[in-house]
Amino acid sequence: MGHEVFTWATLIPFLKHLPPHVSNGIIVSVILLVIVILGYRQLKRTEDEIIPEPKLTFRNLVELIVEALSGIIVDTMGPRGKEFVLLVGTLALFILFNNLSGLVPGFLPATDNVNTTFACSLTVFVMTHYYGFKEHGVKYLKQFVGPMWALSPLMIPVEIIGHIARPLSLGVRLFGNITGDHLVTSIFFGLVPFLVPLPVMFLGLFVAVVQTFVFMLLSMAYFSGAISHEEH
Amino acid sequence: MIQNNGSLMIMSLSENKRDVIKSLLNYSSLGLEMGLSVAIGIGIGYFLDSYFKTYPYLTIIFMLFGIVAAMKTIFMLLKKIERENREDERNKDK
Repeated sequence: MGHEVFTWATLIPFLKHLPPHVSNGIIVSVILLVIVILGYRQLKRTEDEIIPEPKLTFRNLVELIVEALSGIIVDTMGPRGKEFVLLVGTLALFILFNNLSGLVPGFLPATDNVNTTFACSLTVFVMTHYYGFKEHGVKYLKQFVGPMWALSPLMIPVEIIGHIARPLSLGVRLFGNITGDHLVTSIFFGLVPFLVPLPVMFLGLFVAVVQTFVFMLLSMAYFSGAISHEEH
Repeated sequence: MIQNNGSLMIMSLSENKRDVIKSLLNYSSLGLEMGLSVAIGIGIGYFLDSYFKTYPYLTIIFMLFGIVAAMKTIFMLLKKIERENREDERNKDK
């Protein structure tokens, strides 16, 4: 494209010189932070109320989101899932809001840059092994050795390759889906800027939610694999 | 009573559907992970080869490691499915 792509971030003085994926990521994070702080303050104010408010308020909405997230996580990981609600929920909200921000004109989703998606997937990668060591101690390394000591020179490279493939596939999948979707939407918008991009944008909505869900499911599978006590 | 049965059926159906969607998403990641395993194996082998100046050997060996890692991913998934099926049957017996 010949001209500079317009984003809302170019209007904000501090964010003007940052690359678009960073500035848009910051804007989305600030929006998330505001939502969290407002929800927390409302929760504090109405702490001793037992009966929920009759109509849908902001606080109900926040509670709905948190309950849905923790429900999915506990459903998938079992009772120990509660330890991971903070991490997986944060990643899910960050990714979901970033994906959805791509549908708002003037926003480039931060997740359509490899740096953002790999930041998320590397967090999952590091935390997986952190939880593994926390759960098993040094014995966690036994998971890499395989069933027999004699086979360990064969099994260790295989395991290492398998473990490196996980964050790579997480990051590449999210990046590819969001980039592709954003690109298709913008191309259709360039061709016919009326009604025609609507089905593609609907597809984008679908992709944004599904990719968030996939990221959550896979990172939960990796976490539960690291803390499980069964033979691998 | 009829209403009750109907709502129960819908609930179980939706749960079933949810399980299907969940496993679909879970297993759809398999292809990418398999391909990447082989690619990472070749990458590591190529890097080691250019470091030790032993060109084709380590690349080939690590490619084989990558292929085995890809197969192991499928194997672990199959084991997981088997375990889940067994648990489901046990729950049904109860």
